[in-house]
Amino acid sequence: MSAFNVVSDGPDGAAGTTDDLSTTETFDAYVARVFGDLFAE
Amino acid sequence: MGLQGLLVSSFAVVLGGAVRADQAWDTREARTLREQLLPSWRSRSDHAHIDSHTPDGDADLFEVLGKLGDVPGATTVRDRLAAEAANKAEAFERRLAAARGLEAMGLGSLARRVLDVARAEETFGSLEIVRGKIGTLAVQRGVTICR
Repeated sequence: MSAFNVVSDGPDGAAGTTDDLSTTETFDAYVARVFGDLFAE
Repeated sequence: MGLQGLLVSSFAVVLGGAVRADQAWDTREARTLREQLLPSWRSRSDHAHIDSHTPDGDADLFEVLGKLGDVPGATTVRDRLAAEAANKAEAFERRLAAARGLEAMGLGSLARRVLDVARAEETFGSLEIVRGKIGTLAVQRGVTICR
């Protein structure tokens, strides 16, 4: 049985890119992965 | 009374109630008031004037600032909002308000990634709602899904 998740193309509106969102990760993890450079470490 | 106080109190009088300045911005009365305010704003559209009307903790005013915009030919407001949006030391809420101010000026591209974070958060919330509804539907239909 495959895992059930919901996905989105993300802010760039293109599928299969690094900014795609999925319920496989938390939003905080997503922000750290995609937008980490926007924030001070 | 500063611009902030004038805006809020005037909107309250004109519209007779508890409305936020940005919510009231597009009403006919608010547009009239805005036009009345613009001459004095434009005569003093500098960083000191901006600072006097954007106290700490009131980040929403950056969005209002963007709606007022720059004096023709000047870039003071644009530059200030771009710097605020890019400032990693600031709270994200304040940076986002500055980015929305730029967006109101038609310059959202200068803070696109900050705006993208907010859009992604909205989308993430929608994903969770969809996931929850599908999960509920699966239970109702007796379908087992793996999470």
